[in-house]
Amino acid sequence: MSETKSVKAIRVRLEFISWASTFVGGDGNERKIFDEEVPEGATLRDVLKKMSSRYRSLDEALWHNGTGELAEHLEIAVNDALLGIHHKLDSEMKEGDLILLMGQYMGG
Amino acid sequence: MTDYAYAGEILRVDLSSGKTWGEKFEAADRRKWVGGAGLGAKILWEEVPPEVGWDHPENRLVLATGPLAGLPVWGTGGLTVVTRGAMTGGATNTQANGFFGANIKYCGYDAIVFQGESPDWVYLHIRDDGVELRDAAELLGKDTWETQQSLEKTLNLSGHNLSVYSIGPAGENLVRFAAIQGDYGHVASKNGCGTVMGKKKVKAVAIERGTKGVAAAHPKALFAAADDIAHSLQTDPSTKGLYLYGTLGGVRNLQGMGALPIRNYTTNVWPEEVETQKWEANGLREGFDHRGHQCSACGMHHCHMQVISSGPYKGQVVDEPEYEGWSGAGWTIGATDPQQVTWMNTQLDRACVDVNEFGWLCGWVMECQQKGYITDEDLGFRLEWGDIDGANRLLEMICKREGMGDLLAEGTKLAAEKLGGEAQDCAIYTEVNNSPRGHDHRSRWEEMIDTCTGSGGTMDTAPPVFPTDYGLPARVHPQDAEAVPKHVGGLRGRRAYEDSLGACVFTTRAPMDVLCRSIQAATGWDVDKDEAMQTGRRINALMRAFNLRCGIGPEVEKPSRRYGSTPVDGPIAGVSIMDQWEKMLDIWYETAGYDRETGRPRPELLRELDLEDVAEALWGANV
Repeated sequence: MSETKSVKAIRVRLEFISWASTFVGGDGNERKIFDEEVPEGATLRDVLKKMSSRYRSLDEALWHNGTGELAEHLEIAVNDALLGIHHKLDSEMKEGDLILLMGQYMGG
Repeated sequence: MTDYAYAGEILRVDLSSGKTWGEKFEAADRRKWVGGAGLGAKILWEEVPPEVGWDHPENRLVLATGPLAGLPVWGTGGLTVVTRGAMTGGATNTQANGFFGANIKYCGYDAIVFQGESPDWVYLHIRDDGVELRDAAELLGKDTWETQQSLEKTLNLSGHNLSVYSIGPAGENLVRFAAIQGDYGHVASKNGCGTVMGKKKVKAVAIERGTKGVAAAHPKALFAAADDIAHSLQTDPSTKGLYLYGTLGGVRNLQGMGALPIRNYTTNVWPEEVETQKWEANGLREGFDHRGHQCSACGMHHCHMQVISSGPYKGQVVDEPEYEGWSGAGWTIGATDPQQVTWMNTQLDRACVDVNEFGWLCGWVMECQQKGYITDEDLGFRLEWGDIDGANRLLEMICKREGMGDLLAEGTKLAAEKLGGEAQDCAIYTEVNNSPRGHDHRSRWEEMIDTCTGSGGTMDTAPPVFPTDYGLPARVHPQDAEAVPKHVGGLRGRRAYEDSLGACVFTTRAPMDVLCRSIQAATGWDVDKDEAMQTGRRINALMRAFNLRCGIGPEVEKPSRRYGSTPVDGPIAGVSIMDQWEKMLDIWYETAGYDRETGRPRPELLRELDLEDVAEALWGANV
């Protein structure tokens, strides 16, 4: 008989600011906040996949044609540092991590 | 032969003799150079030898449009200005929209080429085949909006029946970063193109909407392609915000990623007292009474006019700033009240300078005053962060070249070099003197390397658009020292092609095959995305060859100390681009196909681009 191991959960926060909020039901003029519970050991990719599975428009904007790689439409910061500085997509999340999603930059 | 998509003639204006004439835009040249940036680059290379500096009468000032202008594809009133510019002393490729492109083609011309220098101030009046240089004495001293209003009165025309593209007091007094503004709020701003126009003593170009048609090779297919472009702009996750709000979303997006330039790059953290809501895209729009001010054939909710609703400038009508205006007239100089920033932005358009360069200059003066490098006596008054009235006073000093304004009129780089020492260390510029646009590029490495290596007075590649069209990753990390230069070098060409079409780069942000369908339908050519890229790379290579011939080489491809500094706070605190700079340049050169040591496009690339004569000029006959 196999032994069942209980998996501890952690909580992380996702914030969609400004235009990025339109991908999760916002109007582009507000900050949409989600406190998510994920299993310990979950990566940033896991958290984002969980979120995008609930919102089709987020799924289309976040991932490049189902490749599992990020598309060009959104920028991500973890704990106030841009993705790539301290975290990558496969970095393990910690209790209380803050994931910020924002629209890609524009100018002109 | 039908001139599908082209008027077929280039208007030549010799200002020294006052003579004007039409010259055939040869069919053989059209596909190779397209129009806009491509046509301008060809003229620059063939007609402006190295001894002809930006202020020499024989410099050319090319105001060109392209094959899509005047046709029913969104945003196709485009103007591209090409000249040897006053900032870098090299090639210029800068755009404005509005109705120039449509109105000039309806008069029967694809471009205007100014040569020579007028003995007296003139404006060029075009009405179908009637072309005339007229006395501009009564327009002198007027800002660009006053100039347009005055000509509307003189010619008894208004609205879209008359396009006026002019210089303001800055251009008249040869402020080195003077711009050309048209149709109330559309500015070709880079590399001192307005300074060249001022040197030639041309105050304005006034084009009455002509009566000639522009034919498309396949009209039904053109409408279908135009619809598909519009659909893409309305639905793509990146462009949907642009479609609804223009570039207003840039402030919050860039702030979030540490790329909003705050107080001359001294911080990347938004001040606590700022009301976030006011700076959201719809917050910025809803804070004003506004109405659409669309360009030719455009359905974007982009350009707007607005009325200032509170404060000392309440009731004034201004043009809604682009992101660059909110940055250069606002955040860069510490101004955070949108009502004041929008007023200052229009002041800059009316005086007619590059809003980016003014931001770097004014922010630098503010920081230097704070640190005591420029005293109140030096400047003549105290200029604090966010002081809009003071910024406007500084603008007036610069435009009139009064007091310290005479030095500041030379732009940030030259003024900072003159002061030297710690003051110079605070200044944001590139060694080649391309003005960075209003971002903190320490968080956008692709734009910093693009700005430093650009051959047209600004970035050559610009932000990536559908990079997967060309086999590149959809997205790279903005501080990845290997992926970033591959992206910038790999996408090099697309923007130059877009700049040759007579269209707005915000409405050409569609998949390349869809954009090519519109060009196929307009011209009858079987152009595809590879030919488009090849053509763009030809234009980029020719502008680089022009610059090399002018003595502008790789030794100036680097940021100033502050521009390349390490952010002290915010989302990219402690991340240094300069640790990676040489490596990034190595990769960029390899990807672009240019020689790292000399900066020259390699001979095999030039031959591939059908630039045999350029290969011979740069490398000799036997290479």
